[in-house]
Amino acid sequence: MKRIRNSTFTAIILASFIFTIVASPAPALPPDPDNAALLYYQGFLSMPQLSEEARDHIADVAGGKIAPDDQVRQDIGQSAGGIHFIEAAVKVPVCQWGIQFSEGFDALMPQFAQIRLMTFVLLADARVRAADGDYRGAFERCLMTETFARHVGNDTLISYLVSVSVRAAAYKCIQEITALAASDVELLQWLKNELAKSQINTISAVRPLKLEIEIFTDLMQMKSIEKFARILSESDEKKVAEIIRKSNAEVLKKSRQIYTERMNLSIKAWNSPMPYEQAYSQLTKLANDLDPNDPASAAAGAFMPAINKVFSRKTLADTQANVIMAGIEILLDRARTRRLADTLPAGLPKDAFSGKDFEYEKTKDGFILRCRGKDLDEDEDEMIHQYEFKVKK
Amino acid sequence: MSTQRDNEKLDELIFRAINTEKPQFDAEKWKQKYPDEYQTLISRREKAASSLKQNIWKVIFGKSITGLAAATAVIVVIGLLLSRDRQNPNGPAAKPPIIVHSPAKIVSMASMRMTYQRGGLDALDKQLGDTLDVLGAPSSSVSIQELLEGSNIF
Repeated sequence: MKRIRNSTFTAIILASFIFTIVASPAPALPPDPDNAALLYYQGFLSMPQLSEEARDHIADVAGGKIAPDDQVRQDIGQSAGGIHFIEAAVKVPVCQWGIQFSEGFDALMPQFAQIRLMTFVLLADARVRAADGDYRGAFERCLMTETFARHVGNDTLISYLVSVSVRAAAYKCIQEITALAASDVELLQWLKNELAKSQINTISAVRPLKLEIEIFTDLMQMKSIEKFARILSESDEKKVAEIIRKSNAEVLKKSRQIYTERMNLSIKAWNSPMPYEQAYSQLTKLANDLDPNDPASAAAGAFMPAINKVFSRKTLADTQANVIMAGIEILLDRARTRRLADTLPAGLPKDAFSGKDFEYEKTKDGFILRCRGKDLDEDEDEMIHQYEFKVKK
Repeated sequence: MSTQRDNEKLDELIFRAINTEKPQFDAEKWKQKYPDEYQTLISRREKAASSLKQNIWKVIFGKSITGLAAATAVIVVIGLLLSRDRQNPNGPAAKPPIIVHSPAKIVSMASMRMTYQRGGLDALDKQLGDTLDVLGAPSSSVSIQELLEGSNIF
């Protein structure tokens, strides 16, 4: 009887002990970063040391210039630590790179070189996956790169340009792999849905252009004349001295007025819904049409960004996004009807250069989507962009 | 003051010892004969000199604000003197200062922005590609273990 009572008592004590342990809250771990940039920076630090030759090789594979080989597979394998951080970073909505804007034009932005390299690594990995028949995995890498492009952001004009370039590189890769995955309807549908979720168009050049107005008008003052002269003359001491000697408050005031007026008109043109050709023409005039013999105009012109060229890059990236969506629709139609359409199906996304439907041409390997509008930033023989979908049989 | 008093005391002692009217002091001989005393005397002098130095710094930098102001004044005066020297056309030609530009300048907003201004996207792309060679890639190949081996923590 006594033994039973003892056993019951021990059981109660044990049960209470276990309950206390189970019921007690687990020690709270600090949360993961809520700023994607912190994860990107860790990713950059986790990258292996790659020679210039290795980096160029990765870039060539990423761009589809050469097929993936053992060397690139090895380099990507070594970059797994860096890629791991990027995978985590793209899931975080907010990305603040921590640029020291208080430093003005002297602010350092060391992340862009690493962003460029990381883009090539991600897209080379996509090409490797595609070569191995893992099209879903390849698209995932490309979509990751697109989110990465959005995170690169538009803090500065350089940020915006890098963002657009990363985005364009990702689209080129998606477009070429889409043709390879032509027979996988489910996968194409999934890709279409994923692309529809894209928020990349929230990135605009207007914000960095406004920021440039702040920075440059602050620079075009007598208090900053030496820095101003150094930037204008690439630190050529003779030129620096000449600029300082010739500058005065009146000339700089006029420069600021010309510069601010033209920048504001450029922003207005950028935001307007006018066709590409018209907007490009206006932006070109605003950026270039300045009197080089008037010191105030010349100084303003030296800081006017080539907004027309930036606008062309943005229009090209928009066109690439539309080409992919149009291409997917054509391939889905092919899967439904078991043959490639003879004419372009209606209601597809358009060529952003002309605002019209793409020109559609069937080829023996698949089809081509060709722009109708010219990219006015390119040489005469490359003004019309075309995108070939070599459909895997 | 104390050093002088020590010397007077010493003279008196010597005078008493040799019982002459006017002490004739041969320092070299005395040093050899009384090395310990000589050392004591020397150390007293050094202490006195050092305490004098300390006092000067205390007077100048005794209180933080006064100290800061005084330090600034000293720096300004030195700066003025140096700049006067530099401006003296008859003086020896000053060595031109060695200007070392940080390689990090390659990633400044000014550098990248003006590269784009002058050479477009291709030039910017090239600069970004070259940056990794100029600044060096991250050295993640160094393990924590290797880092610790370099120190004597364990």
